[in-house]
This record gives sequence, C-alpha cells and structure tokens, in this order.
Amino acid sequence: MGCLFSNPDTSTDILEPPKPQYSCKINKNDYILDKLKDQTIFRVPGTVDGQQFIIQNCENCTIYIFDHTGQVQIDDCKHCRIFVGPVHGSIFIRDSENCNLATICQQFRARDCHEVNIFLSCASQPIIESSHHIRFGCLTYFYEKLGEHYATAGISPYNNNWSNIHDFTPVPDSKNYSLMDDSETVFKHIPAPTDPSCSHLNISDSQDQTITPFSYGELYREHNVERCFVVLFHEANYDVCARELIKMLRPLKIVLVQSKCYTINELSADRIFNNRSYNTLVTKDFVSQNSTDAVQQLDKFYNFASMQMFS
Amino acid sequence: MGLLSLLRKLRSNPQDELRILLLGLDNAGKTTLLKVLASEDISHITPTQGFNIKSVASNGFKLNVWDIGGQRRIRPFWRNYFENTDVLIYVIDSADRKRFEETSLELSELLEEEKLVNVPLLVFANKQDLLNAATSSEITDGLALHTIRDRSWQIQGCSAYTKEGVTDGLEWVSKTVKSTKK
Repeated sequence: MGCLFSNPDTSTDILEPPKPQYSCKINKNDYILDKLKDQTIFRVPGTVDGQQFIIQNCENCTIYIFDHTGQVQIDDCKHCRIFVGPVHGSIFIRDSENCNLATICQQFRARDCHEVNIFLSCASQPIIESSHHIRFGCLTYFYEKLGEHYATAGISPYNNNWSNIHDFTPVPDSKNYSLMDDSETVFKHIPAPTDPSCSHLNISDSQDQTITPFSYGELYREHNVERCFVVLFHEANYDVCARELIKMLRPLKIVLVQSKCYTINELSADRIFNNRSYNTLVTKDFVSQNSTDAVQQLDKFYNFASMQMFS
Repeated sequence: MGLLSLLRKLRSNPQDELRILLLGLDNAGKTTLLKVLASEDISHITPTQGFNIKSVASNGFKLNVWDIGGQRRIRPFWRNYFENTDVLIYVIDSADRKRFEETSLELSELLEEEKLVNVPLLVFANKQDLLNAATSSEITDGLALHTIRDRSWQIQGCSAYTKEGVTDGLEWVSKTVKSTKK
C-alpha cells in the first residue's frame, strides 16, 4: 500500500489487468536470443506470430526472423547480421556496434550505436540518438508471406521513410549518419540463409522481386531534375498497377524518389491537384501535365504527407 | 473513458483548467496513450521530436494533456513544462527490462523537483500485452514506489495498444484530483 499523508482517505493499491490466457503454453525463452556466439539462427513464418522479440549480448551471429513481431529490442550486439520481418510497433537497437540490420517497422529507433548498416522500410521518421557512423539504405526484400506480414503488422510497403532521419544529437560540421544508394544490397551485408529449411521461402533482395519498392528518398529529393507526380487512386488492383508502373520505369532510367499510400479527403484533393474535378474522382489515375505543375503538386503532397505522419 | 468523460466528471471542480503532464523514457508509449485518451487512431505514430498537446473544453472548463518527448538528449527540457501541473502521469515500457534502472532514476529525479511537490503521480506500467512485460508489482518494487511519502500515487498496469487498464488509471486521476483540489 502506498502512503498518503496528504490524503489518508484514498487508498493506493496495485491494479493489474488480467493476463491474457494462451491456448498453448508459450515459452518466453523462444522469443529471446541471449549471449550467443558464432551462430546462425532463423525463425520461419508462424513461429513468432506477432510476439515481442529480444536479441541481446550476441556476437558474430546471423539471425533471421521471417515473421511479424509486436516490438523488437536489439541490445549489446557486436558483429551481427540481423533480418527482422515486419514489426507492428518499434524496433529499438541500443549499445551495438559493427552490425548489419535489415528490417520493416512502424518505428525505428537507435541509441548508443556505431558502425551499423541499416536497410529499412519504416512507416514513420527513423530516429537516432548518441550514435555515429550509421548508414541507412532502402530495404529491398522478398520472402513468401512477407506481403501478408506487412499487412498483419499494419504497414504499407509504399510508406517508406528510410532516408528521412532525425538525429537527436547532431554534431556541428559533420553527420552521424549517411545514406547508401543501390550499389549496396542487403545480401552483400546479410547473405540469404543457406539452410535447406529456408529454401521454400524463395528469399531474394532483387529490385524485381522486392515487396518494398526501391526508392531514392532524400538521395534525390534536392536534385534539380525533371519530376513527375503520379497518383493511383484506390481500387482493387492498385497494388498490381503500382508494381507494374515501377517495373516499367526502371529500364527507362526514371527513378522512384518516394511513394506514399494515404487516404485523401476532398478538401486535400482540391488543394493538392488544384483542380476540383478530382474531388469526385477516385477511380482515375493522375499524372502531372507539365513539370512546373509537378513541382507545386509534389510540394503540396509532401506537406500533406508529413502532416499525416505527424498528426 | 476518454478525456471528454474525465472532463465531465471533473466539471464540478472550482478551477477552470486542469493540466496533466505525461512523461517517461523514449519508446514508453506516451504518444500512443495520449491518442488513446483522445480516442484517436493509434496505427501511425511517429517518435515525438518535441511535444504533443491535447485539449478538451466544455462549459468553460478545460483539460490539457502534455506529452513530451523522452529521448535522453531532450529530458532536460521536461522542466520547462512543470509549472502548474495538477497530475503527473509517468509511463513505463514494462517489457524493456534493460532500462528499468534508467526509468527509475529519471522518476526519482522528477519527484525531487520543487515545482512538482505534492503533485499526484500515476505510473502507467504500459505494454502489458507484450510477452516480456514485468507486472505492476514487480515494477513497484523495482522503482521503490513504496518509499514515496509526499504525494498520492498509484501504479496501473495497462496496454495503450489494447486499451486495457487505461480507464482505471483515469478513474484514479478524477478521484484524486477531486479530493485534493478543493
């Protein structure tokens, strides 16, 4: 009981909501990798199934989580290669060095890390604190069920802010992080598992097969080249259309800077397109008519998108 | 119970404004909690860089909830928000055992702040839905909450994600504010 000298009438006690009952017994240790050295560990789809996962005190390990998780912590790891499938909440890496990490998450956070390469698909703005020599790249990845796991974790592969980093501890005249272009690939840093029990997952990091579209993000945002703004309105096959479009553009040397997937109301549509005819739309696709329009529309759309992100 | 129903319960209060401060380490779930209190969507939350505020007002009575970012670098700015706080809600990620010591230290520093003297404290032991979560009683011991003698306090296990326990915490807030602020 708490002591309440100021107000002795009210009692303080400890309240706990009832713990959820699981149909089969869960062993917590199946979801914690602790103090491992020189090992390769993998979890195939269905074995983690949305639970929290913890990786700590590991050295020179290769770890693959081919499943969706609730929240992930990576602490005190050295020389590790880690792939983590869609994380519904946050992935937090702390006190780790010389690691390679590839992941999909709602939130990415790093503190007290250095010499870490991160291939990312992140729905919100990734943040780092008290870290240096962190390199970020756009995740490109495929395994069977990755698309499903994205959906279960509530993340769209089109909302990737991998390059838009917020540093809580910036240093003058230098940067604690840098961005990697597509000359760096996931497999170069985290090779595909060779174990035969993973072969049915058809794992790939190629831009042709990836669920997460490769985008240049901040690498291109300031480039003074011609830009175009394309909107695919929501209909049953928008995902197929978007993938087909991205595939068609690649050999033409037209690069995808950023994609976003949002619900736009009529007021916002009016503002972004500068054209009322799109308010009732919803089934037509939209392409800028000329490059001046495109620049304005892009600015408005980015404003809208970042308001959605921070609202 | 969301902020609006808390407001309704408090309306008989003589003051015209109530200020709640939400603090805790980064990644504790403060913003998610704030959004749950305001009955907003929690599926697209981004790490807080500054602060978020939610206000609800009715019949001239106003309730303000401040949610301040929790990164180590920006914790020194917490003190800018202490003035006129009526209730302190401290949020803990119950599944982040590595940082129990850090969160305990930050809380004990808060409790020594002059501007927060006598301010009632609600500790939300958040993320109870996660596998590795410590129970409220484990956290009570770990944080030595029993040694708090200068204010009303309560610990409430909750999951902002499943919304369990949140209403119970707010019930305590409304009860405590009514009895201490007359």
